[in-house]
Amino acid sequence: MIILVNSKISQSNIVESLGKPEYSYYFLLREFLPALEQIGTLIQISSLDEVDTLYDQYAAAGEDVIFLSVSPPHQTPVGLRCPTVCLFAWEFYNIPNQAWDNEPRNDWRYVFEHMAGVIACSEESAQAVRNAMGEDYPVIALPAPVFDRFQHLNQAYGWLPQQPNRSFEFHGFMYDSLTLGLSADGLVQHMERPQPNALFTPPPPMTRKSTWQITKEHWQAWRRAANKSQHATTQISHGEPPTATPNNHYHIELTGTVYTTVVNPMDNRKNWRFILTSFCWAFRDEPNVTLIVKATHHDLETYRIELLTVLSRLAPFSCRIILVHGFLEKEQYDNLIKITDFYVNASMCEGLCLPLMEFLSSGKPVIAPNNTAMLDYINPDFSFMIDSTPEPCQWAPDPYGHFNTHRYRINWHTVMQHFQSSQHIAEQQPERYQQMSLAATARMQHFCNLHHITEKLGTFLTSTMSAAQQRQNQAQALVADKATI
Amino acid sequence: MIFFVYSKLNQHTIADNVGVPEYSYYFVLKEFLPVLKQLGEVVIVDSPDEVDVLYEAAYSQGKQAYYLSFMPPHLTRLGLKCPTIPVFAWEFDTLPNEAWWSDQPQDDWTHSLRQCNAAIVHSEFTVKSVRDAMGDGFPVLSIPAPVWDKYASARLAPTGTANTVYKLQVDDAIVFDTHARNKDQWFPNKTVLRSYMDKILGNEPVTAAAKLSAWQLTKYHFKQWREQLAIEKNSNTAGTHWQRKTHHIKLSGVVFTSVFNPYDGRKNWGDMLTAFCIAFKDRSDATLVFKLGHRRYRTAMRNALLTLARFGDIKCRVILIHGHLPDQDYQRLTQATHFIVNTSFGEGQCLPLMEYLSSGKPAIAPHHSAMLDYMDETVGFVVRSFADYTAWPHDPRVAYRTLRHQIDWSSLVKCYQQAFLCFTDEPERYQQLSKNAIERMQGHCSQAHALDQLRRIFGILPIKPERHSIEQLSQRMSAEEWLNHSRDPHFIDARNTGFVDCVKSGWYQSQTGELFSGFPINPEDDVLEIGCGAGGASLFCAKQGAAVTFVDVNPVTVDSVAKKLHNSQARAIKGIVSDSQPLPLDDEYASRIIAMEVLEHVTDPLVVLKELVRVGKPNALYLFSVPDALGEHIQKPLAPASYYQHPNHIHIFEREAFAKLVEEAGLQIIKHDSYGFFWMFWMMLHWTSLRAGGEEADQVAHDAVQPPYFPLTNQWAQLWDQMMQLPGAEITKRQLDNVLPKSQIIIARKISHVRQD
Repeated sequence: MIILVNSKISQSNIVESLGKPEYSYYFLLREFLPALEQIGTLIQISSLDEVDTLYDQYAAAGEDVIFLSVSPPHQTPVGLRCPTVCLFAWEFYNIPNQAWDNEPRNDWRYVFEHMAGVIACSEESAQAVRNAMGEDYPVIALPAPVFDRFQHLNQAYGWLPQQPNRSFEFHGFMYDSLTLGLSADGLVQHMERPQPNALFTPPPPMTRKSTWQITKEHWQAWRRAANKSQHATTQISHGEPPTATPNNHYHIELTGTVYTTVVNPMDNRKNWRFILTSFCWAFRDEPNVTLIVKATHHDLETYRIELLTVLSRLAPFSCRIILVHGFLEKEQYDNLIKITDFYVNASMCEGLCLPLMEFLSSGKPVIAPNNTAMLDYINPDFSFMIDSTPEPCQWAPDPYGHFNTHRYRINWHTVMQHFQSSQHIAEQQPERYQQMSLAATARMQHFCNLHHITEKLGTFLTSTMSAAQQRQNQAQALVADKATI
Repeated sequence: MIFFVYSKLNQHTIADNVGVPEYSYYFVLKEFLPVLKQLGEVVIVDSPDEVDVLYEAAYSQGKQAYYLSFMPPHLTRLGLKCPTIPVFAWEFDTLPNEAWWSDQPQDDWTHSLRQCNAAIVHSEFTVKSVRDAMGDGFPVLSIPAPVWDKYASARLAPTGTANTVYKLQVDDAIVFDTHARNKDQWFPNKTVLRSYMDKILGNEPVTAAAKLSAWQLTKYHFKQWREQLAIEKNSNTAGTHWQRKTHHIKLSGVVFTSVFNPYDGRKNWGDMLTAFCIAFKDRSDATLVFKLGHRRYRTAMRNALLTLARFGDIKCRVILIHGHLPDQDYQRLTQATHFIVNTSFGEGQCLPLMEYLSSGKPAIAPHHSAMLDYMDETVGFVVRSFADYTAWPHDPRVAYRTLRHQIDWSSLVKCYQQAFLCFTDEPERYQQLSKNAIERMQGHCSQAHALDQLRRIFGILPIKPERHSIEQLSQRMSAEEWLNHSRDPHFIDARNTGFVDCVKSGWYQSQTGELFSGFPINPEDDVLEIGCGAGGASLFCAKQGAAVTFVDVNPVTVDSVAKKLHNSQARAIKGIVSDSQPLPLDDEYASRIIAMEVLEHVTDPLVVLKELVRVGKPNALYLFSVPDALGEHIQKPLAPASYYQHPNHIHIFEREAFAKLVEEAGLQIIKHDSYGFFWMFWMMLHWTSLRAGGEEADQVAHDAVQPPYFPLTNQWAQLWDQMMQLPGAEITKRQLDNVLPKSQIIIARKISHVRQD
């Protein structure tokens, strides 16, 4: 079988793409590659134009060809001759069924009608597809087979908490709350004092803005922007490098209980503020705990000020918070897992959550909510489960923000309590921690080992393709019949 | 009693300032007025500057006055002479106990409250926050605004069915009704919604504009310009829909109402609206009425409309009303309402919720902060909530120091649906909830309840707890400070406490005419007092109508007592300057002979006693008091040496020796008593303070020590005063008076056989 694959992001540009929308599709594809390689011959394409050309060539040579589009359905090509399977991650219980902006693909049903089959990353999204397309629709829920890549990190009898002599090294940029000199008061010393007795004067009657006024405002805005843009271009043309993210080498020594979270601070659904605040609330007076925030965004400046502001507002606190900004090599990432006692996720919704699966596959217990995709693999044997309940939300790509779906409102209080109870287990009950570690490994081995996923994926692709071929043959036969008539 | 009351806004400024910080304090003040008027005179001041002037005037007329500041502690004027009590709402589990600007220490509420005499809040939740910060001793009481009584007529109004139609007229208002026929003219269209979503989702490509080419940039701005023109056409807030006018609204089906200030972030109207729309997207007979109050209503209403636009087609009805409803219309809206809704993150009390419950309208509301006092499933449907981090509202740092309560949105949807079904399918249950609500609120926020609570706080209000430095303890305040201090209605003057204590010991019984119990003074008595001092005893006898002769070695003293007695009811008065050895009086001159705190000063007490026996009539009664030996011995190491030298106490009388002496003089002892633990201990504290400050003793007896007194003696007077208010404290006093008295007293009689000898 020939498997054509694409993803919007490739190895060459991944560092700059960290944190951009859809960046995780690169990682998703990367996780599935080993499985795909066992199923057939893999050809990574760089342009969609190649798909039908390659299909025609290989089909003519009698090969089975399938195109696996690893991308959101509304960005998946329809109308290719090559049978196409869409692999996507989705964090909501239902799928977009409206074609906004005159783009029929925004109605995912339209896309799925043109697919040979669909691979969803969670049972919830697979069911969402079935609910929209019918119970017989060829869809399968397959998590990324991450287990095998982290198997080597497991300990035979499970991890013990608070490993001795831990340290962590990486290149990039780091903030350490111990050395930041954080102060809440520092945020306001320059501010003018409020005038407590100020009253409002009655508001002026609002008048409609005239067309002329609006035009004038936009003309001025355009001129300002045009000037600025010219200025920026000038700078670059003089060969001065844009302000680069610092790339220092860091060596951090760690003691006590270490929590880690891997988040994109620009993604509000990840709820990183909840993690920081509940951590500080739980451990305000506890110096022996550390939270490592590994940010997955290419541009430090997009979140730096906000992060520092949140930390200042929490100050003073005795616990330690470390921000790690930078792309970690595999060895460094493995080491991050090793030094971690608990992974933390407080997301309002997840399509899969690779880091969570990776830490679990390595035998690290977690604090996480059991909603959306996490329902498939989180359980109390190795998780401190955060309470969360539905709240209204729009589908992520919907520019009109219609409340067509829901995400989960995280119960902050339970996050805070879980920090405390997990710390208690790390400090007082190492044997319980060890059981949790073993349970995590066992669960992930069953859930996402490569062999198991390869088998299911292979079976699904084969049956999908034969069904597609059958349909194609029937269609050709129909055309031939018509021609005969 | 006089109350000076203040809030930032008043009846003149409120209309233009609805929604400004602290605006709601005015409404709370308004609710308290009728109750305060039952307790005393109420003066609404326009500025805290007026308070002390008014206070001085009230004080000079002998009236007790309080300053009730309907403002949070950091905005309450501190340092006034008038006792100050802030009345404030607070919905967080911690009190601000930090100041972020060194020049604004009042932002730390513990700093502010320490300078206040007490605090009135509106919920037990707040009481706990205040106690946690200030200590259990701080006087704080929860008195919810008494709104219950106003709704007497609303309570009588019958509840209709889902088919009943209520006609409501709102004047001078802006109203949007999603069931109105002209909805298309004002409801946000797709372009408007898109532009709004771009803003709230941060999709605006403005930040990326720097990287655009000149052509892309121009294209972008052209598109923006065209969009804005379209938006302005649709959302024209100067259009006719946005002009105030009279609206007629017909309400039917099940009506949910919420009354709030949309700019109060705690109110969380977003959840209230979205949960309603999801709960009833297929029901046209469910209505949600938002009665908004804020001067910037346009933005608030637009945001609510934009939120509604995000639902696409839904059947339920939402009505947004902006405008100040006169009481009558407000009550009509209450009548048309079936459920009051609150989804707030925290409440200091929540007037609308209390008002609707008082009218018998069951609630949909969470069980947290102030609602812990009155909200539960017997009066409505409880929305689940959980703790969430937040900052104190007036903290510009937005430092995360306290908790609020986040709403469980899904549980809110369920509450809406259950409430709807309760009204339509279970009318009896609905009636029961309504009845429960009325009863609950009567206990919570009726005027009677508020009156009880206010009486409690003004009845037992102790003066603010004081803690002094060593320097302060060993120094006396200046005469001027003393004057100010003593004007505080809560100030306890040791002289008063001491006098009351004397009376309780048996002195000055005006009812029975006894100078000391067992020593009656009758109009026909001839009284002789030697060593009359300030003349207290002589004056008492004069008031009983007796003839009074008073003797002192000091002519000034005799003169001043003569003046005091000049216009009294005394049958006759006579002042004599003499050292009583001998007295220039005839034998058998007096029927009552008094020598208080005299004998310890004279060289030979027996000589004086015998002289007194000489001038006594047969069966004359004698009253002697001298310092008790125990007290004298105890003071020895503390008091200056001069205390035990001439002209002070040159004798210390042991009890038995004193009795013997009296008998030796030829008198028969009728009663031997002791009293004055209060003064004894007061003197000990006086000596201690005096020595700590290195001050030389000026005076040697409590009645000679002049104010200003030391802080410790003031606090002792206050403590004793408080103890004596307790039932049964008499026993304690009696025991202490026996063990460690200031003085011993002997009442004796001149027996006739002395005369016969």
